[in-house]
Amino acid sequence: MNDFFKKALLVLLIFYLLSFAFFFLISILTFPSVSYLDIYFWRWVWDNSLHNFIDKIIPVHTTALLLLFSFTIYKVKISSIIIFFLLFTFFYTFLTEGIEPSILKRQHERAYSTELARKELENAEKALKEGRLEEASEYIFRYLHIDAENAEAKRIKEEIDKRMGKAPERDMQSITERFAKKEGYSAEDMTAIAKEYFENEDFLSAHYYATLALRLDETNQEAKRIASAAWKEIESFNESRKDERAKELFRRKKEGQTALLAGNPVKAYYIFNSLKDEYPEDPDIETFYALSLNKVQEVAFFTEEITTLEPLPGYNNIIFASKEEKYSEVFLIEKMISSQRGTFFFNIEVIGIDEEGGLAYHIRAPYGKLLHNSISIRCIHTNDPSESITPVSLAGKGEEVVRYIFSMPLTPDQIKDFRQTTFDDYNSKSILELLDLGKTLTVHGFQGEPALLAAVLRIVAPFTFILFSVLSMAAGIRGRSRGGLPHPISFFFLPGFPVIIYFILILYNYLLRIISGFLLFLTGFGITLFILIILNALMLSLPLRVIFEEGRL
Amino acid sequence: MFPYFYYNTILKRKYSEFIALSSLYMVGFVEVIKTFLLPVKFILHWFCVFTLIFFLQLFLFWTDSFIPGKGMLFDFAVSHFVYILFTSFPSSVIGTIVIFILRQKAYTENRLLSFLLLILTTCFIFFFGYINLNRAKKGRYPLITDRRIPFLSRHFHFLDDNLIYIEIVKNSSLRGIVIHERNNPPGLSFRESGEYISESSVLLMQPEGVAVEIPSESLFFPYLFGTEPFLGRFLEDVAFFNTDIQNLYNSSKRKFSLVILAGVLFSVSLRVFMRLTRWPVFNGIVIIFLFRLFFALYKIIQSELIIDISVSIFPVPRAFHLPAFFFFMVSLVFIAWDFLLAPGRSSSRSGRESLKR
Repeated sequence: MNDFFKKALLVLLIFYLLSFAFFFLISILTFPSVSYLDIYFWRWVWDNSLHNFIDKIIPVHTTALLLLFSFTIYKVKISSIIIFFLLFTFFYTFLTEGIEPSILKRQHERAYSTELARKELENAEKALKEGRLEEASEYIFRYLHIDAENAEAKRIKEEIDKRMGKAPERDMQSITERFAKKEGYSAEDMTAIAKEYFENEDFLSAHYYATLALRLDETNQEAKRIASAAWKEIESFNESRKDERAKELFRRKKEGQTALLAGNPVKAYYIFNSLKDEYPEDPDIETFYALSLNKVQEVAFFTEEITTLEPLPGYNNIIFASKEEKYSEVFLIEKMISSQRGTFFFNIEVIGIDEEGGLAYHIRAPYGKLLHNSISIRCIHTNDPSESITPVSLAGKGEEVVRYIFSMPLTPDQIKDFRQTTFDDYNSKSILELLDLGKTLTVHGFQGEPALLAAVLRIVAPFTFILFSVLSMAAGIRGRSRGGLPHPISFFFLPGFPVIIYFILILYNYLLRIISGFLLFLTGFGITLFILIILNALMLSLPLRVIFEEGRL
Repeated sequence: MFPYFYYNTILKRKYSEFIALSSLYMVGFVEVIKTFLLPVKFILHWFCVFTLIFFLQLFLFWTDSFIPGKGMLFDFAVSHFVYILFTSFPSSVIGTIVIFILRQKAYTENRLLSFLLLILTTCFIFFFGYINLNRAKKGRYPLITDRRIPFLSRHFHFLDDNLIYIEIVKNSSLRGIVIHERNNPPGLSFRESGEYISESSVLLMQPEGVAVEIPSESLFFPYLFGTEPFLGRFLEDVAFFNTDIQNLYNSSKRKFSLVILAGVLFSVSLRVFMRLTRWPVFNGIVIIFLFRLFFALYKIIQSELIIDISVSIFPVPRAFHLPAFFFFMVSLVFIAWDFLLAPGRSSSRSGRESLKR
């Protein structure tokens, strides 16, 4: 390693470390507790410091080179300079393309989790205050899913548990629960339960509990009477309904099979699901149940899948258009969550437009799921059809007023790109993702140029880094200190250097963006990129000329 | 003997003195010639800066009103040339002065002469440019209005905070309009049809007959040229300066002249900072900072608070001359420092000169 490399690396390392330490300190002091939970403090500080460091690395790098060439190095070989600048350009590209996008993604997700968690805590407090303990418990569970160590949330949970524990326990459900837990029960208690079931015509359960009571106390006459009466009822029921039940079973199996064949798998599923519980040994039911379940999962999804996902962070305010055979559709999705179970949507709204530009349907649904090449908005309950969450038709005409399924050619990653973002949000994407996004935006109702422009600027960014490096070298050499070090007070103003250089950098980037935007509209992506690279090479020649003139290479 | 002695002792010596003296005069003459070339150099610098700013403004104007798939209206842009020139002109002159000062390798011997020449050249460009630009503005180049339909079939259009999707665009009539009002959830509403009235740039939607004003900017790229606050404030300050200068020209030629003169004097007097320390890089950074400060101060001085304060101190007509007065005073301090106190050429040699020593 020659002298130049040693000095240059040392100076740059000092500047990099100082700037990172500065951003780290600033991040600690400016942690936005309004937008982030305390649990994210150190993670946010680290990522924010790194983000700021990468964002401002050119001014820091330029300042270091200005100092280096102003005071220390007078003559270096061209090969050393080329290797030096190339190494740091690779380092810069690694930071901007490899590290920066993932940092920004993480920060977005943390901000969203915070927003969600705070809403859950607020809901939990409100529900607790109003005595809705079950709901409060659900909200606090979701909050603790995100922030498990929060003292306030733990206190609320304890209070909820305490108050739920004090609830009246003399009802039938609590007795049976205690029985299930094998807690001390008297024969009288069992007899009371049996009597309750007998009155509700649940003779099997009545007989069961009466028998248990007799096991505890053989002399319990009431239990004997209930057991005997219940058994009689069971016997008579079996005798009188034996043929009718076979007929009924056959009829229901047939109904389920017809529904399945008629393309109504949801109806078929509910029929076979209820039959499965009643006739667990029936092989026909088992086969048709599995078949209907598979078919259901092709057109709908279960409430259980979605409720546990709600506390997780997702992507908000997604809007795009899609074209299918008959209709053009505009989708608005309030939130999208991707998990191992699949991709789910919350508060989804769809407008279908026919070929004449008329309204075919306008549907709103609380939940949706991305299935294979389609979006389903039919959310069904596992056992109870009345608990299913169905979409609402707001307007429309013809046969398609209510639809449950829409064709969807986009992948989850592509869908989330239709969030209404600003140009700077493209920084969280890689260049390849931006090029792909440019094409996708064009097909789904938007212009692809913003994404392509962001890609062009990202490709050109390493050239900007080299340009500023060479410029700073030329400026450092030409503006070298005359006759030794300047007054020490000058160094007091040194932290202002990166600020002024940052100002010049963003001005340069803005001008580059204007030129690139114009060229992109006028000529397209390839030619724009070519012209920009040529332009950068020309600009690079100016400081290089200065360096050659000064005889430093 | 004598002639040889004469030649060797007296004549040779005098000859060498003559050569030395002649060289000195030649050097001085060249310096004077160089100083007189200063206006030419400055005009060339200004032309480059102005051309760059002008074309950037033009590109921005073009892309801002761009309708995808419909090409660029060159006539439309050409008709706005004069207006774009106005927005580029004042800041380009101030910017050139700063670039010119930064590019000066060595401080010229004729400081007073170069100072006066620079001020004269700059004022000439300013006044000559403004008079001619205003002449050009007065009816010579009528503005062409963009009458194209700013909508596309099966596209979203950004309109303030709302998004409008249009299924079919056929001439000026639109069908299948979906509106997403971002600040008015829950989100989507449908209008059967609409009519774009290009004369008034209004979109009339049916059946309710709701009228929406359509801006001249492109409806497809609302955030393409947004700036971050750090740069945004600078661009705002520059735009304020440009607009204010134009307003002054229209309202009072005297005020306009005073402000221009003060601005030019301030910018030229910044050259003293090139000799602030023996480290030119540092001096350059200070000058760039002061250049940025100039536009910020200009806006701050014109703020209501400062005007109110100045009105309470000075008589009303003079109070409105505050920007000119302020920059005159600051310039005088810099000029006095430049000619009376600041050190001479020792700190301003070029890098190569310094290295040779």
